[in-house]
Amino acid sequence: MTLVKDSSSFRDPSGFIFYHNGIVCRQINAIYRDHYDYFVNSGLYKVLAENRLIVSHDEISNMAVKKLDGDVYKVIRPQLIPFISYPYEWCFSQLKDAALSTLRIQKMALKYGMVLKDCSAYNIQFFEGKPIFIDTLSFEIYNEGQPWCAYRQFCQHFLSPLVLMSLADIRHGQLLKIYIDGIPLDMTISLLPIYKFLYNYNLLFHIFLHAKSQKYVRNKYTVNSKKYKLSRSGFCRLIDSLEAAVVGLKYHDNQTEWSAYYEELPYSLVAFQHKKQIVDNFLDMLKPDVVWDMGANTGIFSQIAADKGIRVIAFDSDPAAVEKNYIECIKASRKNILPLLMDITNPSPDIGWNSEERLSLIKRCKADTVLALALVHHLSISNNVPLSKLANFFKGICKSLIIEFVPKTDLQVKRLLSTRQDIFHNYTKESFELEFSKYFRIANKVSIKDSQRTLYLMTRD
Amino acid sequence: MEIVNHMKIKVMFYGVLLIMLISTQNSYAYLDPGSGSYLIQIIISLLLGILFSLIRFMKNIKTFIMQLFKKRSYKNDNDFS
Repeated sequence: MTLVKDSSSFRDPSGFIFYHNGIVCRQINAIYRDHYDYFVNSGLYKVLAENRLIVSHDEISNMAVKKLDGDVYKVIRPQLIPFISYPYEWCFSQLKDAALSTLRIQKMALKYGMVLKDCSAYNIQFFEGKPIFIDTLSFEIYNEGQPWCAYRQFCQHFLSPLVLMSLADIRHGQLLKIYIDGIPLDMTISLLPIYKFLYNYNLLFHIFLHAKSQKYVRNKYTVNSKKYKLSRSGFCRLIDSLEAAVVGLKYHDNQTEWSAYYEELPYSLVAFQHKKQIVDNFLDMLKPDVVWDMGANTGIFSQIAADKGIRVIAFDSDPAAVEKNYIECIKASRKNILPLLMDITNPSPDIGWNSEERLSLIKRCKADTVLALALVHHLSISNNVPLSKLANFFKGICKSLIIEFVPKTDLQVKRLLSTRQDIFHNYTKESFELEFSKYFRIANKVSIKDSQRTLYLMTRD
Repeated sequence: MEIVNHMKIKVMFYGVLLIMLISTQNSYAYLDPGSGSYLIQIIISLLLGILFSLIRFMKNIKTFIMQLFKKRSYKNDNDFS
């Protein structure tokens, strides 16, 4: 029997996540007893779980689990989230939906006499295409008069990055990787001209004035915050105002480099249709449970896998492409595609306390099959990554690979080489097959009609 | 004497209630809420309360004036019949 505490679950004295023989469990400490009992007995847990706003859980016998730490009240086994993603991997609309979901949960909680004691964006995961709240111990009994202690965290984790992504630059969401407790409000106001806050008074309040208030109080040690009182109606007005602020922030499509990729295909329609057919056939041969579509763009090939009932994570480095993919998934009610922002040349690293609080992509899990379509030439030519390193990378993340080799005679590669010296003497089909054969068996290869490209099916057996 | 005792009980009851209302409430929040954040949310909720009261007041004025005009035009129509 192995019991391991989760490396990111340590700040809240109410309890923590641990793994019992690999199964996710949550210990509830005695200090949280009254709040947990109220959460369940009031009916709040039931209504949130029925509306799929929060992960459901089972209470399991704590006698079966040796006490790890603290004074155990109960142990629960929460519903499993198949893939953990982080806020800096979400597109604008994913972060916005996560924010609105958090506020919706807070509104519902208040009706039952409870309040969220934290509003970290890491409390939200994506499950079956929608945001879901995973921290069962975030709820505490509401004491009327108590200001909302999670207000600062909501503004920094959600409102700050959304404001920057909407009104400054869509790439500002990446600042969440550096600022693990959300983007500081004074940084947000330094990155935006003041007139942008005048468009919406809710932003003026929650970002601009909030930042000024933090600065004002910062060095005043005599401030007694315990005397501040916030009535219930004031609390409701605050939540409604935050909701209006989030709803008012829109995604602006400034046509990034890859967002219009499929509007003007780099190859003919015949080639495109044939490529789709080959990918479909290869997936039927492999029958994977989980596919990672790397360089997925707007998810056209992810949809082929998803239509077969396969769970797909669609990675792309372009925030506009991920946004389009996510919006399309919402419109089509697709539950088994999770679009995420990821630069393969600089994937999510280990960050946080002891560099193990938020894990790198590779440490989280691996794929059954990776789709690497129209990708290799960008990594090898644009990013100077040798084929040997590419092969080594893919071997570490999947059991099988559907990969496209795009030769130098292809128009796309010619375009990439048009402004630079061709130093890629080893970038040939023969070298490609040689390097990948060191780690994979080439089970099948098909030349795509009306193109110079070849699709490979490779397995690690 | 009974009335004085009754008054004393009333004073004690409301006194205790007042103390309960103004005494600090304990929270089991573990993260730093920020004093500046506490201060600004009180101010924002007050500002929003004033704003919404003003909007409601303006709406009431508008409704009142609209009704006034309706009554006048109804009265004028009746004068012609």
